Amino acid sequence: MPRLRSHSVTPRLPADSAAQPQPIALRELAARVMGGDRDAFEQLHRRFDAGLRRLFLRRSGGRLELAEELAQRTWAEVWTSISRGHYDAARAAFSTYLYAVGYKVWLQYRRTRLNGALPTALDQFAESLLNEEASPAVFAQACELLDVVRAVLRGGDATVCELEPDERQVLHGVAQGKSERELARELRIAASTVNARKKSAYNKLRRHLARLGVLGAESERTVAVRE
Amino acid sequence: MIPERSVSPETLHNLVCMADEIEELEAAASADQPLAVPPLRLPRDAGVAAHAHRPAVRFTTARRWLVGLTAAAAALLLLVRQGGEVEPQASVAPLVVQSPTGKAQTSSPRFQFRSVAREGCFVLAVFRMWNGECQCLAWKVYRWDDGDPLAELDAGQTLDLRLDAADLPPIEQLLVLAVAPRPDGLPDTGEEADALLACLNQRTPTPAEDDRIERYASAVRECLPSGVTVLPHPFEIK
Repeated sequence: MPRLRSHSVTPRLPADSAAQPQPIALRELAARVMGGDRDAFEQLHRRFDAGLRRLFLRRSGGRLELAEELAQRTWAEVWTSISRGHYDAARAAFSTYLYAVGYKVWLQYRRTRLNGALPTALDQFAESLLNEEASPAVFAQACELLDVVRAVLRGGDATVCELEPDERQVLHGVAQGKSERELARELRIAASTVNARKKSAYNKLRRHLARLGVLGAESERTVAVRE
Repeated sequence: MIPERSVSPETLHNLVCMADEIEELEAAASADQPLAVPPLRLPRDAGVAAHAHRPAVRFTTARRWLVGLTAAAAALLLLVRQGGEVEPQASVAPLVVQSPTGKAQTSSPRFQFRSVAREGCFVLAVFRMWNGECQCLAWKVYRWDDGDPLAELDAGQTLDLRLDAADLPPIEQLLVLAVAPRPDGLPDTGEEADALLACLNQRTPTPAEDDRIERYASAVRECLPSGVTVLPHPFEIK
């Protein structure tokens, strides 16, 4: 009887590229990618692809094939822009850049395929922040802005972040789509306390962004969604 | 610079939401490679068109008359062959072999087929090696080098799939192809592929019967979910 044995679940690669790479810091990989290092890019692809597909899966309402297609398109777009020198690892983390490009790809898809469908508030904001016609410099500035907000949310550095842990906790919950009431129940505090922490956190974040100057005149459209 | 007060709570909220999503994206980026990462395909204009490490799936165009001629031949071939034990499911557009030719042992076997799939699909091939043993190999087929996803292919367009099997022993014969509209129809992890191979080991025909390709097709179909189309063609390596 013929025996069935080894297998592959993805297209097989030549032996030298199939070797397992040692984990390398994301920052170092990003710097190598800027120098045109394709292997470094493939490592980033392996490490981020599942998360990127998950994001698209959520945006597309669980359409797996679409999520994978958009992820592919994003990687191609990221590689092209990096090849053209549009990414600067010193200004934004690779994950931020990947996310921003991915969001742009999603918005392009929305425009071409989802005519008439109402965009979410986040999509509308992203549209203003990551405008397709924006120059690479403006796009980089938007990534920088997102990186600053990430650093604030992450905390751990008093010079970077003045948010209290409680305030960060509330912001994280709000970003997850939880209502003040849900957060109050979860944190076992009054809803008014949640609201106060949120307001305080936003005020601090606003002041922090203004102090860093990341909301410069060139990025005025990034704050187009106003009260 | 924008005055502080001009940054609305909605703006801040959206920035926080996006930052939170990026944190989530980065948190998912473990140093360990996931088992089933789709192949990375990069655009030609980025100067990386021909690379030895690229996943060996590519798209070619053919002259219109040639496409029409071979497509017609392929459709005829499919009709003839479908008289076997296994028939493609009506819900899945079949992949049709266009021009199988004589056997040839090569490390990069190629074969062509026509796709009329409206959505991306996933393909599993089962091979018989030079020593009579079998292996299987799966592709996730949804985007080609020129950026076209499979879902946007016109009926009759020619696809040229090339297996990059440099690290495999010489392939004697491609036995069957299985096509699934969704990835959960075909093995997607090492464990699932092992389970498929174990199942096939129990069901593949004896040497005296293995010239009947329909038996392989049946064996493969029995080991896969019901939504998967198994094509009972005696595919041969071109």
